[in-house]
Amino acid sequence: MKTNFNRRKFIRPLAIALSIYLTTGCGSAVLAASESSQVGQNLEAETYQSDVVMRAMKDELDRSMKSLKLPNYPLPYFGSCTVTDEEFAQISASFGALSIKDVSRNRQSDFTLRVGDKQLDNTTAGGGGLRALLGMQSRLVQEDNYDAIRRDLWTQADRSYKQAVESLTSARAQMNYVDVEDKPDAFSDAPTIVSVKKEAHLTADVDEWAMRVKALSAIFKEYKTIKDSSVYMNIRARTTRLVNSEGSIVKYGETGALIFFGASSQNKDGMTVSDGEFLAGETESTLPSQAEMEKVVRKLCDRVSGLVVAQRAQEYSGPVLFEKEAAAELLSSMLPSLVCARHEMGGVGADDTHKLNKPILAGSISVVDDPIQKEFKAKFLKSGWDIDYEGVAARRLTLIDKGILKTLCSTRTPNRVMKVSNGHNRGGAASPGHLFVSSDAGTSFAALRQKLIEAGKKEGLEHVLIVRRIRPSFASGGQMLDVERFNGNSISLNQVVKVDVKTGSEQLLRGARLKNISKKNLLTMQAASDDADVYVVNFPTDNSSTTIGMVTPSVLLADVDFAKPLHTTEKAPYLENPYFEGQNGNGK
Amino acid sequence: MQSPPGALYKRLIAGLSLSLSLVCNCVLYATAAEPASIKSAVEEAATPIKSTDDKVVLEAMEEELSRSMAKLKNVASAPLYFISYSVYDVASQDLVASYGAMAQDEESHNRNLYVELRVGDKNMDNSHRLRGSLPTKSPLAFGRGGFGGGAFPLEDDKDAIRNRLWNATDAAFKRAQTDYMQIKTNRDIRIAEEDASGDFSEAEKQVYIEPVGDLAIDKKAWIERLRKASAIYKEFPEIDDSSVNFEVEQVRRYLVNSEGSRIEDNRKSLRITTRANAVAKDGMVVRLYDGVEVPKVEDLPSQEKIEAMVRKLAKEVVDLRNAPPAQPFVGPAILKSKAAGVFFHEVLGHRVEGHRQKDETEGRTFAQKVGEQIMPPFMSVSDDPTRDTFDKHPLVGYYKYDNEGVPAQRVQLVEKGVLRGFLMGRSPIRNFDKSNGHGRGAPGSAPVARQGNLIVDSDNRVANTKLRAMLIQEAKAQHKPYGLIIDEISGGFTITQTFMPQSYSLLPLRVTRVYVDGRPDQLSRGVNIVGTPLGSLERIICAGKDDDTFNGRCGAESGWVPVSATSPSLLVRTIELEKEYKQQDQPPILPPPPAENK
Repeated sequence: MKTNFNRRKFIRPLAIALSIYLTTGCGSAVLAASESSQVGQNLEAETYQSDVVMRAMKDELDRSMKSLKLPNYPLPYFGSCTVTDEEFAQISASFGALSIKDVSRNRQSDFTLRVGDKQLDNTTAGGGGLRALLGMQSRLVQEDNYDAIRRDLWTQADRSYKQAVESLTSARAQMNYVDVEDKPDAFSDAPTIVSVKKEAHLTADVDEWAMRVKALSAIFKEYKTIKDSSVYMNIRARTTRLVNSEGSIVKYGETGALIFFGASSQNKDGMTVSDGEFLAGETESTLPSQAEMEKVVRKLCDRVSGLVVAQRAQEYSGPVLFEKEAAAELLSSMLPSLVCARHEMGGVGADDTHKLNKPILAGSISVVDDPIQKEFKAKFLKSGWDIDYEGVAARRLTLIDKGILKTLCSTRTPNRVMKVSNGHNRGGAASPGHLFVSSDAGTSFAALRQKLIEAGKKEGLEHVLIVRRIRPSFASGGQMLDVERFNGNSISLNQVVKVDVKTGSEQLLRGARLKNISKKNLLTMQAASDDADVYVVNFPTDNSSTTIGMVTPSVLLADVDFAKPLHTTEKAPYLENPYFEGQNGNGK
Repeated sequence: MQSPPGALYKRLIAGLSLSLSLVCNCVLYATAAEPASIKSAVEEAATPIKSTDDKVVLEAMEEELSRSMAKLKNVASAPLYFISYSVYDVASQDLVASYGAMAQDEESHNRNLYVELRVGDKNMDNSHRLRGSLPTKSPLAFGRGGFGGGAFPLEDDKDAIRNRLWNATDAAFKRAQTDYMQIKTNRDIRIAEEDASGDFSEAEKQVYIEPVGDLAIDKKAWIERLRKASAIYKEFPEIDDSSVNFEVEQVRRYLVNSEGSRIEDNRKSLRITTRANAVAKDGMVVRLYDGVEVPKVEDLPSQEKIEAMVRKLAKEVVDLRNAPPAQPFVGPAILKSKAAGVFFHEVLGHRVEGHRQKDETEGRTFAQKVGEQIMPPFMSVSDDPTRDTFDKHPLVGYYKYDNEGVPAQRVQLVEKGVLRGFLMGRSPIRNFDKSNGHGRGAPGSAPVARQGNLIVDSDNRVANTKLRAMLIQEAKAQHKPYGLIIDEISGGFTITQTFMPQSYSLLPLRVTRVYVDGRPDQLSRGVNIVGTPLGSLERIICAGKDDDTFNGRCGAESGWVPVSATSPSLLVRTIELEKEYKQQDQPPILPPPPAENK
């Protein structure tokens, strides 16, 4: 659709185009003033004129909504088209030499069509499987060529419609034979949004960063005790475009940079210990300076070097203090499933187990999710969004208030608990963005540590444990710390110290493995009020790999089980690292 | 562009799926070759994919190999007797255009390491096949790993390279010791093997250093050319998915072994391909593919030729879309030259790979047939990786040294219908105790015996018109209404193992009925050729005078390797066709969107 327009008329709309405009949605409340609505229309026209990709998306979506129909089957009642452009650089180096240096570009589209109506459509009863729910990710031509893009979208729309029709028939057939009490709708209303922001592009000097990554990886050569090491960096720029049949038009750019340092060492008894550290920024230029990153690497090397000769851990049951960084990794594996509305795949209302308005945490603890918040204590929060994957504006949510579950992160797919979206669809599933865990108990970290010792004494223990670090889940292929999965299937931790309950002295342990934490344990969780900080944790959603920003204080849990270190270890290398061979006293 | 699942299916059909190769011993797909004499009009800008003074790599490999051999020899229960390191530096560039726009522009550069470490002795070592169990663990290959470690340094940094070799050697040594113990026990508790040959053959030390390669293309110009060529498909509304691709790959291989061999060489490949899909009214997706593969930039086709190739393919896809579906059939057929080449690659080539003759999970169709007649006496077959052309056509299975560092050799496999030998890597078999330079594998994979340039010859040749007349005559004799001409083939696959049917399948793209009653020929679509090897070879009646070459990639347990198969057209007494899998979707509901820029 090509629109003639007077360019000067749109100067004002463009000047304020970095804001979100809310206009009336179909059947929903009027959320914006008429002036804003007018601005939205102007912005829409300008966007389609200047952005070939958006124009092709819109034109093919319009055509599909009006004409894509098989005889005896309905037209789609809803359609959306999302196109994501990603520019991605990755660099990896080990022992002073590059092993990966790549810059790539990718454009994907997701053309979703729904047939039926919002009460019962092709996604009801698990119709169409995961693809129906998440849409279809397809590769799209990379160039901004209207004809080529429309051609690709045409075939995607065709597949999407045919699959939807088939799924709708199946869903209707199933519903003829079951009675569903309090059946959730298939799809919820959402306000229309017109929001056009700048695209994001990769502007990093990849060659220069390659030199820096290489130099950082060479630091490990100073440490004879480090057996294996690597530095990995990625820099990403992503532009997302969305149009839907309700009139939403969304375009925004995001950037991110992440650098990860990993190191491992092996004790003479064969036990391998490893640790990692990562730094994240909005762009590569916001990462710490080279000198600061060198310090981080050296600190990591020192930590691993210390850990490899530490005392072997033993079995343990009792109170454990998770210091803030470890608390972030731990809670990121426990909280999301408690605070995200689940889709009811394969059914029309499996019993929901969310304990809305019931206590799920200790009474002093509150949890807020705010994808919109950009920083905390001057630290950048990188995991948020303004508008979610379905084009719904994100909202700040008080999920847990003084221990009581108040609401859930939701998407446009309703369940019995959450009827509408609050803008938390990321990659196809409900997800938190930035989780802020806080306590109003007024307990300082020092007092919490003392409580740990007192709890140990009360249980008759000689020592109690503090977990300082859990290896970031970015390490080793991003294996997630998953409490539900590791119960009975222990996971190794990095920095665990035992604290003598009589003297308060600390001793580092190696090979400690977390065995079991019950979610009920969270009801007695105590948290510090004075040491919350920002940590980024890995959190893959259904359709993308992403992160959550955790703002967590240190937490004390009453009843945690630790297993012995693994009984089987690999023998140490037969030969010495060639670099250190014959270098008596060289290296650390 | 096709959605990922669609693309996956398409790849499966085109033989590009590695998972398929796990089930079947071999999958083959095509890349056509351009006559070497054709010169390109491309202006080459200096865009070297790789250029480096790379002495350091070999030095680091030699130093770590010497240290490991000296210090690990007797430190564990099984003595170390052989180490080989191979490093493959792979630089590639993929450009894909669709419907006049660039759909993909990717460059990649990585290095893959393969460590071959043997303990025990040449009669029995850790490579010996365990019986009564599934194939042993995958070979040690440290390619592109994640950031948790494992990736091989891209740079010529001796410390980093030795560090990675040290780690890999230690892992290989520990695994070799474990495997060796298992193998010894396995041998003690199982019945005697039918072929008691050793595990590793002698080979002479080789030293060969090629200058560093420099593969330059004018990327900007090529992007423009691809856009232009891919836009031709706009003229064909029946085609719903299409692309024109340009792939450039240069592999520099570094090999050192404990016998003193030291090899550095290059393999270059430039491929222009095009593919197009259309959906027939009955829902069948018809797809055709054409391409040109050459080793040198100057051999690439001109824009005019590329566009002609695209236009021809587009027209053929539309014709095929409108053609009726073929039906299951048994009867006479002419396999045109390229199809005949693939037929021999699948039916004979994979079954004369040496290592399969002693593996007791393999069918070993020809293991006991050396000196016996296995096909008509007018047929001969050789494999010659030392040839880089056949009648001026490039042969992509050319190489000087195989992946075990053994010089490539011509092997006479069949002479006047009699089986004479096998393709051999360094795994000896009964009566064949030496490699003939056919130990091959993809970068980073453990080599096994594979084909290079398979060449089929015949003493019984007739002109094509005569061959067609003979087809009609044969069809009449068999009381068939028609015979078939199979002239385009996307590839094929074969199964050689005993736990599955030991059959082969060829994937023809164009099948033409030649009626015995004089009706015009009729194009048809949607069938596969199926058969079993021994019977199929005996049914060859006669050959044409039209040798041609199928260039492609063959996937088997040692990964994808470039191969060619050259053959004359063959008239075969009977061939069996079965229906291919057909997708069930209707053609797109809406017509293609109107073009904004016509």
